[in-house]
Amino acid sequence: MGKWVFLIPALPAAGAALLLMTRRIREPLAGWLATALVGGSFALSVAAALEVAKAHGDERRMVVSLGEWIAAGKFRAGFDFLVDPLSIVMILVVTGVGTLIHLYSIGYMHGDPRFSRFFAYLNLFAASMLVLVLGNNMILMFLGWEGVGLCSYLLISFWFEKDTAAAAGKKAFVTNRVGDFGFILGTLLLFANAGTLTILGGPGGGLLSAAPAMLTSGTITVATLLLFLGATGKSAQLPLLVWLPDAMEGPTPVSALIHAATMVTAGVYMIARLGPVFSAAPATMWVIATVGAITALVAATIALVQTDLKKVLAYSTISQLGFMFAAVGVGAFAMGIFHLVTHAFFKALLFLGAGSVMHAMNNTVDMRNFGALRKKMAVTWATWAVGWLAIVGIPPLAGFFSKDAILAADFEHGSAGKAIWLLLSLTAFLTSVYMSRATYLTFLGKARWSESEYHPHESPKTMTIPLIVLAGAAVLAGLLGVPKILPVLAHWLEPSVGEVHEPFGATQIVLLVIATVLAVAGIFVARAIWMGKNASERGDLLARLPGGASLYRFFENGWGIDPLYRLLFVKGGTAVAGALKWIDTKVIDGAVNGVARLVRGGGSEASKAQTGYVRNYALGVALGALLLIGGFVLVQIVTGG
Amino acid sequence: MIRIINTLQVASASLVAAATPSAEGVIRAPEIDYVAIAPEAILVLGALAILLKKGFVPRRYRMMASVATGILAICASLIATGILWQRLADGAAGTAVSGILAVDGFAVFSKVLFLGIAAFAILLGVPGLRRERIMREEYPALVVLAAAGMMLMAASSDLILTFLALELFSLAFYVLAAFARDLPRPQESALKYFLLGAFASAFFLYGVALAYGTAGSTNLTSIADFLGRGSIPWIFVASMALILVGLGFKVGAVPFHMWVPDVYQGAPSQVVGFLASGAKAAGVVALLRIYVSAFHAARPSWLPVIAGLSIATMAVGVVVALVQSDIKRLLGYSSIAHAGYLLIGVAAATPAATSASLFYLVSYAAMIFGAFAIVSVVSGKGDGFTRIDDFAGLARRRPMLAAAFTVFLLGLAGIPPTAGFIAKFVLFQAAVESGLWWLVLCGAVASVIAAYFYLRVIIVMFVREPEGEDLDSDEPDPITSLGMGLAIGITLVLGIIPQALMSVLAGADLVMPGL
Amino acid sequence: MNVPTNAYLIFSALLFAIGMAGFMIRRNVIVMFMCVELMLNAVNVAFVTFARSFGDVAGQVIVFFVMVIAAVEVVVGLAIIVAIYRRRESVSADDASVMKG
Repeated sequence: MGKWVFLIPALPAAGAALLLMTRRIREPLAGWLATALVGGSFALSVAAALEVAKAHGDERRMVVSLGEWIAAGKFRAGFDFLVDPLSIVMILVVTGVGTLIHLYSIGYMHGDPRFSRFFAYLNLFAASMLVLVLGNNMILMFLGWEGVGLCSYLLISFWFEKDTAAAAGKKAFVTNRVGDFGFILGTLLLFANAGTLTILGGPGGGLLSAAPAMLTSGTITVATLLLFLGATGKSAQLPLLVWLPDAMEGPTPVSALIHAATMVTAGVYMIARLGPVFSAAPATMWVIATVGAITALVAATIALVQTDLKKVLAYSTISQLGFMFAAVGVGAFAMGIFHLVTHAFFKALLFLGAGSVMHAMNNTVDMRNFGALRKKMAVTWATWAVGWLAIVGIPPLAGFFSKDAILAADFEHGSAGKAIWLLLSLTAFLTSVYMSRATYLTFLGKARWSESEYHPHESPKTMTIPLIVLAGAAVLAGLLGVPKILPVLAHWLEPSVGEVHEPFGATQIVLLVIATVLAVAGIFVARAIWMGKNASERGDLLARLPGGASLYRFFENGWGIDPLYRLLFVKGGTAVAGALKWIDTKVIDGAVNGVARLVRGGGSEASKAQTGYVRNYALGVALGALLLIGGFVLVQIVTGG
Repeated sequence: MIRIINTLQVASASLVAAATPSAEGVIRAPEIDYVAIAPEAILVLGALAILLKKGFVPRRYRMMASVATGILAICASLIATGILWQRLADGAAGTAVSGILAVDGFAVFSKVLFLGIAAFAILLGVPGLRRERIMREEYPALVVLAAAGMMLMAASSDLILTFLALELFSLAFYVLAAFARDLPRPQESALKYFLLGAFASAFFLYGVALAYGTAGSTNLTSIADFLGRGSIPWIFVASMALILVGLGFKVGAVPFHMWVPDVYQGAPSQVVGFLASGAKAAGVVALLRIYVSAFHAARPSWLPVIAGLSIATMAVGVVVALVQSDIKRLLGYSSIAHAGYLLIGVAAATPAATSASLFYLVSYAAMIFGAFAIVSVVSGKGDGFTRIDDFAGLARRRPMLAAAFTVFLLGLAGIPPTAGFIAKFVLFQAAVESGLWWLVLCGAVASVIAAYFYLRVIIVMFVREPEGEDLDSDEPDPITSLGMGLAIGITLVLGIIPQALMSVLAGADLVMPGL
Repeated sequence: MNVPTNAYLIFSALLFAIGMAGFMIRRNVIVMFMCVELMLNAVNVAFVTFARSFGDVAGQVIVFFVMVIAAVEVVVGLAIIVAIYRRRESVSADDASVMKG
């Protein structure tokens, strides 16, 4: 593999730099330039894929180095890229879907005053994501990891005139910092014990072989749990899922690219990338699988009661990411990546479809104001339908194969695995219900908008072409993983994630049938509620059940997670900071004053005691000196010096 | 008064040298290695020239002449440092001037750092002070004198020289803080800084006296030998504590931090960047020189105390910064937090940690200089607009300034791809390597909290509408822009290709005696 | 008369403490500053004591350095104090407390 691999992230990075520095490049040239550059990256990615395909076995994992990057003490990190089947799959998805979404944005962002700025950020995002995926050490990965986070924040609050957008950006940033804290600590812990942060190659063969060999099971469990904390931040899993629904304040192409197809899957990718390390920590693996399955279910129930079309898709993304974690958590890395790929296609498709609808409906997102749009927007409807059936899991669309692979993999992992399978199956049913609900409310049924107010129309070509391409991908991507007959992806990934066990027999066929029945049942349940005679736009099925109203509210409030966090962190944080400021100004100053009075000897002087700050500061210095002497003496006594 | 400082500076070098014992009959003249003292000596001569030229240069050229002399002195000193570096490369590390001046990679690299800081102080300070109409001819002289003092802090191998160096740069800073002398706030900050600085110096000196009393010498090499011989007397324990008070005050460690926010807020923004980067760096290099190198044998005694100091400093710095409403105070508290991170590097006490600390100081200097340069431009005449709310809508009024400030704030928060991230990472990594993972844990928590208040400023700039009248900050002049551009360049280049500096640090062979 | 070394050291420590306490309780900037001088001179006593007990001249030379530094501090300090006095006609340190928080 030649050094040209570095052009893959360098092209969009150059585009971002160019668009940020000059203001001459305006609409539409900026958009076409950015699209062309990501397209160029895609072409290079294909070339890289072909080169990897030509190699055999372990030679398929290639490290390309651009030289030493950081060398401090014992620590060495090269500017190295790891080009292997796993990263190839990711860069193809990132650049492929990325190109389509860039193209779509040319139409979508038409007329925006910061048109070229938008493409600069989008290009910067693509470059960061590619560095994240290709980096052969944890630091390079973290560079990309933070880079995508930053771009995500910039793009969420792109329309910063809206207060909600600004707040959402801030929330995303702060939540991700919590995750990053885990990532960096986990990284440091790995380094402290394995002595390297290189993923493959270098001393000890890199983390993949050194970490499982050199770390005690306790250390590796803690390190992987910390890394997983990072993954929950980036991939919006419990407990850090709160930022993703708010992130829908950003422009829709951003939601599609960053918050559905690529960035949010970084957590899954990271775990798959470090597969052997995580596999050496069974406890962490169960935590991952459990968190994934529970997140999947929780998010699906919340998606069930959303009225905002984009929020439905956001919660659906969280839920589908939960599926992926449930897969990698049982060591089924190939299945997790398979679902990542298919999900990237159909979820990007659904988001772009939603964007197309919003584009036509004056940026309305409330599904209660939609209905019967299929007549006005034929292409959008047709492509949406593909995406809908794909995520629901109707054969032979993409989601059917990938979701089923995950269900089958979990089912095999003992009784705990069966519990996870049960949760996921329930989630799959709910997925079918809420996605069908969104479809019925938006495209089918009666129109709940007035012709005088809205003039729905089909979107321009730059927007519909990506929809069509993605729809094609959502149909065909399933072929990458037809069990037994055509396990293309699993076979392809084997050099990266190890041998893939995918038994196929009677059990699996039964599971397949169950999954399909659940999916179809979901559609019919949704049809009965939202298309039936008593169909209300909200379809308060739950509300009609005994005690259902409170459950409805519970789901609607997102299981109370957001209010809880607001109470805990925002209010609590403000209180703590306020208290500390109070302590700093009142208690410490007060204590200082008190001592000052004591020193002064009370009496008439004390009554006149004013807050003389210089003196108080001096007292701080003096007390600090005593404290230090005391500290030293204490240490001396304790150490027996 | 400045003249007195100069005379003192020249006198001190010869006096210390004269203190060496004499042979019978003849008085042995001290051997002075002029190459070793050249970098500082040139600066002092430059300062003298600036102050003496009043009688020779016509009035209208004086300002220009003094700035030119200052720049010339810095360049000449840099060349002298380069010669010294070359000598090091030939393997001639050791001490000079009767053992009071260390000539090693650590000292030489620090000298380059301080010369860079001084260059920034002139580059950004002169146009800034002119804008405020408080530029005086003495400014370049004070800058180079402060630089000479800070360079001696790094190179000093004798506690008395450290004391002299500490006083030299501190006195220069007291005067600089009072530079806008007719405004109440600068006056107040200068007074506070001066009184408390003198107070803290007295503690430092008492510590030196106690060290002398126990080890029998103020020479760091002798003290290291003394400590290497075995148990540590109680008096020496007190000495370590008192020396730490003086240096802790300079770096702004809790509980000796209280002057920091007041002085940062009150002093003219143009000089705060210099103060924030220079005084902190000087304190840190002295801590490294004294505790990490000379007191290495006593590390079990001081490690818990310095670690505790570090934790308290980080905690107070980040938490109190959360509730600040003035940008200069916020940066003040943030600089306290950074002192806490730097103390982690001191606590780790390994060559890797030392080189990481120097990397941290370089990147911190660039970021804090840049940040205060922007504050000085935005806040306008007399630092009138320094509330964080005054930055509202800056992205729309002055997009380039807002973008530049964002880079510096992200750097201070430690977010890639800025130097701030790499600096924090290598520092934490070195600390983990020497087993201080619990300290790193605290540092990581602190930096997560810290991200929040830096972000708050960014959001205010980009999101909030300006309230009240649209204050009309000028576009920065070309020289200030050049300075900011350089600072951004350093922040980003070191963030993306840190190896550029790290290879230098690795080549400088930073190992000090005792390590 | 034989005075034990420790007596000088205790005297030095007491002098230092008096200076420290004075700095903290007095409001007049000039008096506060005199207290710092007291602290420095306390250290000088300690230096001379140690030097005498070691029979080493270095400690006594150091005293000169400290005295020069003290003089320089006076110069800078008085300059700042005079500048402030010209403006507010007060030398109370408590008046310098605009900035806090």
